[in-house]
Amino acid sequence: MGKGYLSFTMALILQALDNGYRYGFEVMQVTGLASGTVYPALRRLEDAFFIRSKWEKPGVAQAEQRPARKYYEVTKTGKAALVEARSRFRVLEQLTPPSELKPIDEAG
Amino acid sequence: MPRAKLPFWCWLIRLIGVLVPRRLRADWRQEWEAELQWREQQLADWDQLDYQHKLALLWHSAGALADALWLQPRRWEDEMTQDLRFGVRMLLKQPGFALLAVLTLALGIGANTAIFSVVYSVLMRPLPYAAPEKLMALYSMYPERDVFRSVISAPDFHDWRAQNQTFESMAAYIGSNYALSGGELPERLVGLNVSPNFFQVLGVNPLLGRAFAPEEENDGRDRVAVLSYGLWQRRFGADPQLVGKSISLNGENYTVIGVMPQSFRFAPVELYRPLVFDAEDMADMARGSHYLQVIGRLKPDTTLTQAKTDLENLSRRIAQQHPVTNTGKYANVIPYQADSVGEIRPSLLVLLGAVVLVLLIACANVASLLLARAASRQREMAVRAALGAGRWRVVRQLLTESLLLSLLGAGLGLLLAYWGVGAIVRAVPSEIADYTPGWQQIGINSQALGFTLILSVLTGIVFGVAPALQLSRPDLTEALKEGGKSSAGRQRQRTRNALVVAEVALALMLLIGAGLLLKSYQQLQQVSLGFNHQHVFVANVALANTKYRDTPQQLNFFQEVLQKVENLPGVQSAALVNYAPFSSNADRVFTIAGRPEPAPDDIPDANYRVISPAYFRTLEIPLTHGRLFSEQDAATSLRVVIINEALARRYFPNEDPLGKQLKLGRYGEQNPLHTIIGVVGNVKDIGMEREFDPTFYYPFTQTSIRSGALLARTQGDPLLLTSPVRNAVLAVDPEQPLTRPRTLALAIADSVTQQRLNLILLGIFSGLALILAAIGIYGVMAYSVTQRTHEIGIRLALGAKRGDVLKLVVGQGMLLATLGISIGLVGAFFLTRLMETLLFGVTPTDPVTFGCIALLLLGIALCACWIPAQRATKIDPLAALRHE
Repeated sequence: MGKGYLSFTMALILQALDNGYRYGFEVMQVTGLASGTVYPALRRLEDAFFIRSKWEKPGVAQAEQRPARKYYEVTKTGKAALVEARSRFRVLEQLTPPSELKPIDEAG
Repeated sequence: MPRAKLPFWCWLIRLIGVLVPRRLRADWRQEWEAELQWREQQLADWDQLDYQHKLALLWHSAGALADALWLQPRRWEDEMTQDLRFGVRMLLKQPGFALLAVLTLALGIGANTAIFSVVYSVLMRPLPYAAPEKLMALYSMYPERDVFRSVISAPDFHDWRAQNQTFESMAAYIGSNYALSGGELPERLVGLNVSPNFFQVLGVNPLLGRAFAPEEENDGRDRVAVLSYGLWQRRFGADPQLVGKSISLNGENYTVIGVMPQSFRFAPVELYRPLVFDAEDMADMARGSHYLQVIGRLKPDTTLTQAKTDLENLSRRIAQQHPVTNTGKYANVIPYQADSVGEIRPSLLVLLGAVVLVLLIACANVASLLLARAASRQREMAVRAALGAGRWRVVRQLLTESLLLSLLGAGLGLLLAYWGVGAIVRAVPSEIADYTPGWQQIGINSQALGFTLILSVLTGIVFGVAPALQLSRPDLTEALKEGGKSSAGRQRQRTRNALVVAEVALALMLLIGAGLLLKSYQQLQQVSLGFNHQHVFVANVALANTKYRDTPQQLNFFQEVLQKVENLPGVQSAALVNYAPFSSNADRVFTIAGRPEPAPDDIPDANYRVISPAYFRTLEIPLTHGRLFSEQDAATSLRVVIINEALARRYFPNEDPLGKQLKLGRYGEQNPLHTIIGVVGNVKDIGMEREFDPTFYYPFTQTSIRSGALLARTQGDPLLLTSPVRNAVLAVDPEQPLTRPRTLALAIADSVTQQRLNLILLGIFSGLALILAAIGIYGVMAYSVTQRTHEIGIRLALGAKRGDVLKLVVGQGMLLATLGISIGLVGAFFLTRLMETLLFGVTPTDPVTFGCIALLLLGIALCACWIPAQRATKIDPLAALRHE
């Protein structure tokens, strides 16, 4: 992937991550894309240094007796790429602004 | 919360996880399992873990397949990068070995690339004409006389063109020259007179203007010319308006109708004009006057065999109608590309074979080096195997190292090839370069690069696979033991011995090839020419036929010029001849008076020379009996002729030829009879390889000569005569150019340039092979001594003398060498026949050459064994006994 060139799907996923949906599954739910699309896209974004991956703190996961999950954060380069993509795909600007976000892993 | 069983989607993830590269697998599984488990937990918490949601989860987990597939390339990347990095580290650890291997490979691969570049451009690249495989060169041939590529007469050409059924078109051409005047200095141009459809036959269009029209071959409409790109640029400043303008050739005006593109190089000529035939050219008797060359294009659906048959039948029909001139004469068809490289093809193929052998020797050397290193890597290999690396993985690692070596060698080799190709192209004289199509385009082009890449990969595999397979064989317990010789080690030694034997055999074959060429070249040098070629100046003079229309004018001009040249300081004698030695030739049929008409296939034929009286003196050709030409042989006196010994021997075997008479032409033709007044010694003046041909000499006072060569014998450097002779000619006629000033010695040296080049190249390659083989022997012997230190120490301790140890080591080495030499001799015996066409005066299985080369190689092998043997004698027994 060339620097800065984001396809719409990539930009969508990056936007979702930027909006705070940090786990693979959440990105799937919020964008409506299939898992077979989202995960390879995440890998590509990571290869291009637009996002970085981290594992959950082990304590949190252990307490709930489940494996630690991997989450993703947008890097500075990624944010710049996102700005550029927004100028190309104007609709991205109209997606959920972060301030009204409710994380979906709260019950209800 | 205890989990009774694994969730259903977990199996799917595990299954798909098998595809993921091992290094990434754990993380990958955790990510997927974590996400899916979390989702499942979430649904369970919301009491929504029903059938539908479970199916949805299963569907999500199927997406893992796409993810796993997406990660496939990383498997190769990772492992390849790992292999590469490790390989580089290994090479850097042992720079001596790496350097030696890379250099060896560079020599082998570089030589191959250089020769391939030449072979590709000359033999393989298609000619720049439309459908070049359909272009055919036509010749007259006389199968009973073993003549297959002779020039063609005008009436024959017209009949072939009109009556054939297999050719789409045919065109004739012949060289000519023109004096271009106007502008600055007058200039002599080499031109080509061609049939009007010549350019259409080749399928080439002019850059500017047009080609000839059919009516332009008629006298009167033929005052047109097409220029070459070079002439257009050089002389006319690439004037775009030149078409339609007129230029002055031979004192008359011709209209320029076209200019050829820069890439058009059918022949090294600068001008094209229509070929005009008059009634005399087309008369029946003119069927015996041969001078044309012909090129033809086959019809699209016709094959060469069909064309040959067609023309053979046509030739027979013509022979029936014109038995006097055409009995035994047939049309020969040869594919044009093959024909134009025919001279040089055998040399190129032999050289190609030679460099392949050099590369094989280089591979053997590097393989041997790798095997030697193998011992030190055995432990590493054992550890890898113990840690679970499959055999294939290890082999791949080792092959990667081999490929690394060969690619590095190829890189260096390309540099060597670049220089090599430059040197080869420069070393070839223009006679070969100008007439070999594709010569100008020789270089390291993309095909050569592609070839080099493929060759280096193949090379890496060839020398790498055996050591890799050997080394990767799991022999754990033996390898992990301290010291001791393993059976694998012994096998490696056997393999290395076999490699050395192979190297010696191949090197011997190459050296014998070079030796044969050397002997050939020496034979050529010793060929007695029959005349003294040193210190002779030669230059060509061609009189315009418009200015010097009749014979007395021509004679007058030449006599004046000769007188002036003879009077120049430093000139011992000067002469004129129609064809200078080693330039060109014409032969004529003749008839001896007083003999019955000869059979049609037995007509006497000899080389035809027209000379001034001082010719024999100038070239120092001896007179055997009779007398030479003198002033008394003028135009009106008795017509005379001088013959050479070969003619005397063949046609007057049992009688004295002096006083007999002969005439040009066939039995019934009306030509004046000339009396034989002298017999001179034989000369080779066409080529070194030909036998002495029968030749007769006519005095220039009694026949016409319009163009010829001026010869002048001097004491010093003949080239210093260039200006004085030119001035002498200009003093007689200020518009007459003098062309191609040169020395006779140089012309003769040039004629053997190809043999010299073959010799040099094959000499270089076989020298390389010899050095590589010597290194190979040395390496194996040195290593063997190291391995046998313990054993030698014991022998010395038990009372063996130093001399015995020497004999032991040298004996082992010489055994290998002798075995290699024997195999090489057998191989050479069969292979040298392939270079028979390149040899002169020596048979392909010349025993002297074979014997000398075998002894040479034996001697070199002895030297290569000597140093390790000396080292062996210096072994301190006590130290050796402690050595493992």
